[in-house]
Amino acid sequence: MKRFWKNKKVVASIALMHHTRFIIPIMEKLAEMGARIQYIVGQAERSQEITAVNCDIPYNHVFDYVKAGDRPEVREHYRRLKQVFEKAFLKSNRLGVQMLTVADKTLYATATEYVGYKNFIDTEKPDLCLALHETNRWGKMLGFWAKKRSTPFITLQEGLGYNEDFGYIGHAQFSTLNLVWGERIRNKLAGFEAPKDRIIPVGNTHIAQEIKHQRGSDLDEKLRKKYNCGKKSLILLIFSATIPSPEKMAALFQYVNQSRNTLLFIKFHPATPERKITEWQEGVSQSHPENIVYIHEQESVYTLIHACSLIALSEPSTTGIEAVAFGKTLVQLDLQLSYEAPYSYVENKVAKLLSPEVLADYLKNGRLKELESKPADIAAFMTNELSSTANAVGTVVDISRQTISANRFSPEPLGWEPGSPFYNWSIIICVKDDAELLLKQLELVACHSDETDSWEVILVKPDSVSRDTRAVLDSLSGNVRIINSDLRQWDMPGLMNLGARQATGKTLIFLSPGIAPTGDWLPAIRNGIDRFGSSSIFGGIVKNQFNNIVHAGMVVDTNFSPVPAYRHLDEFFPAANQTRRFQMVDLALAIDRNRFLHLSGFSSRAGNYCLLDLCLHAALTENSSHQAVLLSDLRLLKLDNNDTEYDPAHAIHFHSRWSGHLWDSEKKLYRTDGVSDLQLDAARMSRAIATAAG
Amino acid sequence: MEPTPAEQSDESQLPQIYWVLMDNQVTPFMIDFLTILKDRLRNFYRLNFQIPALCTQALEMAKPLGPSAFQVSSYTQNSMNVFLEKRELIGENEFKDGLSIWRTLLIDDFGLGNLHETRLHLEQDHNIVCFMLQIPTPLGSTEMEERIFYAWVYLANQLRIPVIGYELLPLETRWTLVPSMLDGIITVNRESYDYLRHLPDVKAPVWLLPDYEGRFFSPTTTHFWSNAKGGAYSLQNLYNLQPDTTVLYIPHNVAMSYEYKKLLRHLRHRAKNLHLMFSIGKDQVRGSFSQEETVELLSKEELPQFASYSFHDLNAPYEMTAADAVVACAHCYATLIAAGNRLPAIILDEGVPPNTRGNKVTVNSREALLSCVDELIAQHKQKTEFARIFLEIHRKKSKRSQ
Repeated sequence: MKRFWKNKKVVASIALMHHTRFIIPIMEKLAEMGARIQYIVGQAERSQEITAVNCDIPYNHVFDYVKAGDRPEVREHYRRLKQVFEKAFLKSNRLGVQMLTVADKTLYATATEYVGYKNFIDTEKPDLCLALHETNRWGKMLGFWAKKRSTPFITLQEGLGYNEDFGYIGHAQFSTLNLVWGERIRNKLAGFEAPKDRIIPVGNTHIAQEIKHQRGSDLDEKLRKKYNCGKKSLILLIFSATIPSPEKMAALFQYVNQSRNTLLFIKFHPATPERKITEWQEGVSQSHPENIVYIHEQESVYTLIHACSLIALSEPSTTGIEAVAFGKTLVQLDLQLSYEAPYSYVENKVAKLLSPEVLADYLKNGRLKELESKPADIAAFMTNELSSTANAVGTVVDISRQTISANRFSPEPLGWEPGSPFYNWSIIICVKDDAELLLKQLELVACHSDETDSWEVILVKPDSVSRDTRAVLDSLSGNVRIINSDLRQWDMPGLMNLGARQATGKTLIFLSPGIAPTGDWLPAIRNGIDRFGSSSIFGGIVKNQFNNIVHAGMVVDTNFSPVPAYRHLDEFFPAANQTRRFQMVDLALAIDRNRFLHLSGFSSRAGNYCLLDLCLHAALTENSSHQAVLLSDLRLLKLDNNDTEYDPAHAIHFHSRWSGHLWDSEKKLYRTDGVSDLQLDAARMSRAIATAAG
Repeated sequence: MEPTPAEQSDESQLPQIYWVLMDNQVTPFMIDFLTILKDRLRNFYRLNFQIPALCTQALEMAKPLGPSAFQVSSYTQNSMNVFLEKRELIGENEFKDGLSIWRTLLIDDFGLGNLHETRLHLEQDHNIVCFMLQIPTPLGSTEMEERIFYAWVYLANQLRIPVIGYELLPLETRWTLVPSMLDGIITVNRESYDYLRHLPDVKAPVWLLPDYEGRFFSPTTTHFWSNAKGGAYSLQNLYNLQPDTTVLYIPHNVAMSYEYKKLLRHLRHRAKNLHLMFSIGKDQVRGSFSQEETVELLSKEELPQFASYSFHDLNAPYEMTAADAVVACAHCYATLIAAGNRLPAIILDEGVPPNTRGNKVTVNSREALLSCVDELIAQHKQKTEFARIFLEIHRKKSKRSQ
């Protein structure tokens, strides 16, 4: 492992001080393993350089990479941005959240950074880029240039992620992978628009180490000593961006003020201006001077959490989950604040919702125990929120290694020679353990493959299958060969390669499980070969049982993930029914046997992405962008409604290998076809209604 | 159509210039100047000074201008609809390599679904020629000024009323978004004028004020300029100076009568474009001749060739502010005052080597002198007084609405 990291260069973009806690542990671990690490900061109203200086880490400012010769380019970008925003500002006042001159500084800084990040990547040539996220301009531009240069770009999770979904649009756009804390956030992001397969839960990269650090030190004792806490019971009240008025907290403050046994720490958000805190404190101090300690940034919030027995939040905040991870009792204060955060610790059953008055009562009557959550609820919450509470850093480092390896992956030759072809076609099917599906698939192959043509069917089956499936296989006769593999786990590319090795057809036709032909499919492929040549890869239009398009060529969507063109539309939607080249085809694929061997077959590491992977590899080998051809008269049927199984290892491999080659082509296709968004929406709507009506 | 005094006898019927002032944007000198300007334009335009009610200092200071106070309110919202509207506004524009602009800037920098709108509560009004606003700059304006500025610019765009910005802090910076959004830009510094005029994305006309107006729009204005306010207007009226006449301030000295006669002989080659302001001392009597008489007698052939000339008390040096430059035959009190107040000074002195120090040039030949004067004439032509700017805007606006 250490040998792998030697001479590997990893760069990370950092911005706000309190967010570095998620990235720095990863970078430190990578450095420990021999990687060269470097931090980069951008230009911002709140200086990111101060973050780097405070963290005492090696850094460069992105402006360091902008030289005098770049100035004309910077001005050109600035001019472009200015034209766009000038028009927008005059047309509507919706953008006026920033003052004009601040907006102007932002635009100029953006133009400069755009050139800076490009030069940064070109100069430093990193093996891997890290950023907390890409919803700010620094992450977005770093991600963009990393992708342009085919450098893997991994993003993480900034915080609890409790805002409205639309706030996370583009969260995993340029990110090769987005490593999040748990399933809850993965589902939230994917539920809106993010590519689910590139979002992988790994846990929180900070909290485990922090808990270990706090528990292994006497920081809580020192804190108690520093603030003369004695044996007092300590309560931590954490404020987010909005500070509630002192009047709302009066009952709690009054109790603390009168209590001899309680000390209240009030922790303000790091982004709260000092002036605002002083004003607020003055309002409180007049009536409640005793037993309250105000903390802004002078103490670690984790030492405070560790030292206190009860944590109260004014709003849902990341510190809540951290408090639960520390094993503390959590209270969500009911302050009637207006915030739009659809997240609740209370609904997750790890906090009680109490008004300050009621909390004061609990404290007065010594009923703290009653506020504790049930261990089962806490366990369920933690599983959903943090997929790992122990070794998230290790997981990230491991994924980073896989990412870099995949990015440089070059397949090994298959190591077997092609024999002379006997048949025209070898139809290769991996046997999935679903007897009914397999039978239907084989029936349709037999039904639609002309007896006068020369073809064979090769079925490759995993190590063990059910009795029903075996019965289907045993019942087969004719030009069908069944190949037994010793693969214990489902490995589609491995099974397909095995079938290909045994195949004697001139052209290999791979059908994914549940994909069956309709119509004169073999003549359609033959016509395709005649028209486009035998070096092309061929795919067909796949519909489902509702006659909706499942596949009509693969395009790349706005988040740079492969998706079927015209999906969900009627199988005869005119624009989709065109024979033409695509970057990739999926689900079924026909390829000349010799060409398949030349391309080293399917890559096992690509798993269920193996067909896409082969198309991209073919295009790369031929130094062309489109090697696949969609044949509009090659019609196929998807017999089931199952989605392909997800294995993060395959997603890591596929996206890390091909990220630099996948650029938005979906919009371009629709534009070329003259199909507007409105038309697409209407067509999808009408299909949805037709499908629902049966 | 341009207004004429005869047509505009009733003040309420006059076309209006809405001039917005705020705290942090006014000085007593500026108010003094605006009082004179208002008076000067009274037959043509009504300068309607608008000040936010919350700008109590500006309201107090601007009392002589009879300002109107207007209310300002803020409206905030956070919603997906606002986000979608913003996205629509930015559109599908991209950097040239294909990076989407809204994806880069909207979610964080431009506040996602957050809206902060500043609303102006104004009386209904009509016949407004333009809105005049001080241009905010990235390194010198308050948030309140900026928000109100944008509210006016937006309103102007909605109502199709030209919005004219004037410079207080230098506009020769890399940040030019705000100037790009205006229908006209009034500068007070030549650097800003030259810079903005040559920016390809600033389409609006750029004007440069003559110093006797522009200096009042500067935080560095001194009593020297304040004392001279309106002096240039009086000179123009008295001598019927044409807009293209360049004015030179000549600190004549009877002890150097020969040199000054020679100076005028050189200057007569540009005479029809020049008005000469001679500074004279009452005690500069030689025999029975006053200094005024000495000048007229010795240069009787040259003086009639000039557009016009006038005599000024040398104890009122601030009168030189009406001039485009001081031209002297040796360094003297006047050239020092000129240099100290950033007025160009040209010294024709054959006894010292030629040199240039800031806005002070020493020359020792006729050719060099005339070259400097030619530049002054050219620069003078580039300067535009407020009155002419308003006429120009008014003419354009009238044409547009026809």
